[in-house]
Amino acid sequence: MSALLWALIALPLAVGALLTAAGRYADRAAPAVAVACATATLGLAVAAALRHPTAEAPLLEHLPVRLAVDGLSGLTAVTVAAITAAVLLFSAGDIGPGESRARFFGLMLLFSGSMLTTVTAASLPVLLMAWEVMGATSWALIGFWWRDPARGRAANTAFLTTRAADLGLYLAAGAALAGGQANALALDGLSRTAEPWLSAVTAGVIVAALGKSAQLPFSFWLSHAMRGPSPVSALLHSATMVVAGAYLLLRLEPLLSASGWGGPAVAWTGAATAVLLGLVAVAQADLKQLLAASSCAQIGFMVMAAGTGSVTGGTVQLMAHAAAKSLAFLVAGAWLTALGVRTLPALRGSARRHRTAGLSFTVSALTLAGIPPLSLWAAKDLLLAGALAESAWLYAVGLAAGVISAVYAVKALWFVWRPAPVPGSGVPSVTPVSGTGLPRREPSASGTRLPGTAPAPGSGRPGRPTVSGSGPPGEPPAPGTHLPRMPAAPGSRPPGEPSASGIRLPRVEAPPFVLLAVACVGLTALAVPPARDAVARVLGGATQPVPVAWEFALSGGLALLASAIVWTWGAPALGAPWTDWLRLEAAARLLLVRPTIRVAHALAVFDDRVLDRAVDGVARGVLALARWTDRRVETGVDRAVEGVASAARALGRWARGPQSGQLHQYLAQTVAAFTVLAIALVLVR
Amino acid sequence: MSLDLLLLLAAALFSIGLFGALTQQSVVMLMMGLELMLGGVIVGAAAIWHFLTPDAADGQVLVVLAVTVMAVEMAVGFAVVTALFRTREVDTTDMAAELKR
Repeated sequence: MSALLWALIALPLAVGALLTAAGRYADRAAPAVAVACATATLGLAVAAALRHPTAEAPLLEHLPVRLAVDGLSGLTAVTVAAITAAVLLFSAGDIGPGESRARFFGLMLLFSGSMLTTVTAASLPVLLMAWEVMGATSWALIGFWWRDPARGRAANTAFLTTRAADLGLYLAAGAALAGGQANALALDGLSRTAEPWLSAVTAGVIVAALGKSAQLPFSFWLSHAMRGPSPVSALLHSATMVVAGAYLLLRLEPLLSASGWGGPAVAWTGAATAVLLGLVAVAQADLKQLLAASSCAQIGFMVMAAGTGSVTGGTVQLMAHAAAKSLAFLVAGAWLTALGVRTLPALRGSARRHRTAGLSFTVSALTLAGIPPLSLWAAKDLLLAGALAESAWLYAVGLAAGVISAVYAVKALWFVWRPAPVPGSGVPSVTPVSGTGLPRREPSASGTRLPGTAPAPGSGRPGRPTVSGSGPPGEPPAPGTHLPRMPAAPGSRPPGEPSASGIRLPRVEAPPFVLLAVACVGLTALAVPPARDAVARVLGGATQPVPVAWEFALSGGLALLASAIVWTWGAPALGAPWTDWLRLEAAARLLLVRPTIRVAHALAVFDDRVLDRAVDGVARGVLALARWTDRRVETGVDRAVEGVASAARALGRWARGPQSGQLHQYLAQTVAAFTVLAIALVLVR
Repeated sequence: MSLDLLLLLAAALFSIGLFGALTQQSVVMLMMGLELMLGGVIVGAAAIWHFLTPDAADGQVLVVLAVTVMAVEMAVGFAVVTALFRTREVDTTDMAAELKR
């Protein structure tokens, strides 16, 4: 039994490590090997999910490596393995022969392998190891095109942000050890920690999970992570890294409810993220940025589910979102590679040119929008039922977040299905508008226009509209929106020159699209009671509130209504704080980075001016003291010694006086001595 | 004349000589003290010979030896004193403490 579990995590990790170590020698074989490995891993994951194995190996005394697969981790592991396989299949076409493919595929396998370890870990030490490997490989993957400094910086920002939050997990581990019950570091035993430490454990876990999941205070790193290759984004956003935080919170739901305050705090953070980052997604003009912000928002729902204890809803949301979001990212990546553009207005008509990709994107966008009867609609209602049981306000906020998700999904859909502007005709052209990030359009022939936008004087080149791409906040807009590929990279696909007839997407990219689209539709079955109850049974645990019919109708109706409004009148234009991700990064820089650097600077100055000088001063003082001692004390001692010597000499001279050798003097001395003796004798008598 | 009186005389002479030898600073006076002490010895030795063993000639030999020694000593002593005085115009022991140069 346990061999199955060991194989599940060892296979991707070992193959990934081998590929990464082999380097360019393995470039030709890498895609095939990686896809085969991912497929085998998927098989192992399915087997593990069915048989629920456990494994144990000694690590430290009383702290064994424990891996276990139960309902939740089984479903998540299957999701991770399936998404990895699809993404790697896509990457075989997307990452061209000129790239260092072995490094890419190796790192991707390591990445998903560490996620599988995270999912199957049953004790904190293993979880921490996997968590760290995941952070490191995500850094290497986001900065995969490391020759571009901006991508390197993006990788560093993502790594530092998640890493800073990761410290919470170490705090949790320390507090759990301090709590001191037997087998303290087992994940299912954390909720039994004694009270003062229980809060510390909860806080640490929450901070680490929110950081990895890019929830509210930490969201900005996800915007930077978009600079990595598209397959990385697809994997990172759907099944690994970002989901890891939500998964951890779902896994440790007993801990959240045991602490008392953890549940509501997490639920409200998730709800706030779902609403605010949803609005950020609405404001984006860049497809990948829109999808990134929507990941934060959608994972906000999972976090909310963990906070309210509706684990079933959260898990269904996790699986359905993984399928939909990876599909969306893959299609966006395919367009990005094929057309060389990433802003929404520039992508107009791309869905018409690539029918398979366009239809797949439609399926995923409608799933994200929560249109009934697709899977995310039902998942959202499942977890919103838990929120309603908790508080009506939380339910209302969650419902609003669902409406917002419909708005941004349909906004993206609207752009990719519009007909592409034909050069020289009077069809809408796009003009750059700085600041809002939303392109303003002239009233078009079809009569649709975005509300709140004024017709701009017709400028901008037709054909290849130039739009000031609102890149990640804090960075200058990317020069052009092309992917800087390596010179020899293009291979079969010359970048740029997207002619109106369109460029064929690589043949190998179609199967993952279709597979994932089928998965999106297929997961809809989870909305129907028998499948839903089966998931709940697999997950086990306490019975959770089940939504009644009017809730389904309300959320579905709202999503349909919002979609219809956006499709007809366009999405609302949102201003500055929304387009640059609520200025979270600026806030982090202002509140954390700059004070830290200031403090460091002040400490350096203190070091230079005070400590350094003190040491120098002590040295100088010692020297001066030595000189003074030399001058004053030493001469005194010298003089004293010489005085003693001369006194001894004088005494010697004086004592030599009587010894003259002159007999008459000796006689005189003797007479004098005897006289004194005699007088003394007489007087004493 | 009895032995007692002569021994008394010898003792007196010796004592006066000793005193002179101890107290005088002038080399001449000091040598005179030495002469007196030798004189005392000669008187004592002669008196003991005359009264105790007048038949044996040993005592006479001793006396003659002593007188010879005294004469030699006088001659040498005065020669030294004269040389000293000639070179350094010194006639007391104090001033002749250092014989060097």
